Amino acid sequence: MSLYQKLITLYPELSSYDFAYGAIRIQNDSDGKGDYIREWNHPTLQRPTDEQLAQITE
Amino acid sequence: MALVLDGNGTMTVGNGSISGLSVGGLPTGVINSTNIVDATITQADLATGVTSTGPLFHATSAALTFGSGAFTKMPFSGEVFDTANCYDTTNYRFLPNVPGYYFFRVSVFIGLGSGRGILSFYKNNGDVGQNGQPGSNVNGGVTYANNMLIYLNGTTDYVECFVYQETGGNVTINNNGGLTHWSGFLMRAA
Repeated sequence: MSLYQKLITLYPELSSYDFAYGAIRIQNDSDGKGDYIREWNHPTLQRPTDEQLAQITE
Repeated sequence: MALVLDGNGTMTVGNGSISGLSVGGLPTGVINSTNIVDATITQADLATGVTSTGPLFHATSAALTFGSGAFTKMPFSGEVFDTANCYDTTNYRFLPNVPGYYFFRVSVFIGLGSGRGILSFYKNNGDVGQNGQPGSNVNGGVTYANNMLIYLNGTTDYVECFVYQETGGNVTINNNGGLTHWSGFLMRAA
């Protein structure tokens, strides 16, 4: 499950706009390290912890 | 004809009018770095139509399959040309050695069954310009493109390209060099 899928599972109210133009930026530097949260400036939703994300499985 | 040089540094020739006198200059073919220091020749001294020899590059991409919702750096590792050795094929970035305004153009061909696709220019790992459009996989997909002028300081500033899609799954770009490529050049020195 990708980081993006985990985030929309945790916060179903997030829209594609939030990731494309909004307050959340997931980034992948094509260096083999995978996706990570580069920016989290959402006005109401808290940035999830690594533990929260690890608990989300398919 | 009298030639008078007074104590004030003023030189007078005859009655003040000069005829039949040619001012000596450098003979054709001898203007070089010995006669004129390179750094003293500015952009304003160039004639109309004279282009600069500033850095420029053109690169193609390696294969890339990337996930939904993540801005992913385009692996432009195939250097077609790089006139000043300023293109980094390991980190997929352009870090020029001349300060000025650079023009960039990027194209990426992708088939997206849903959602939108976006191409972004990043300067120093920060997004400075996006261009997005709805996705399509009709006839294999569409070309996403972006163009931008970006100021770079010639020492530390660099530019990269990132791609984004929101289909909900993984997508593979078409990395044919005729479809997916990016280039940039110095448009005007600072």
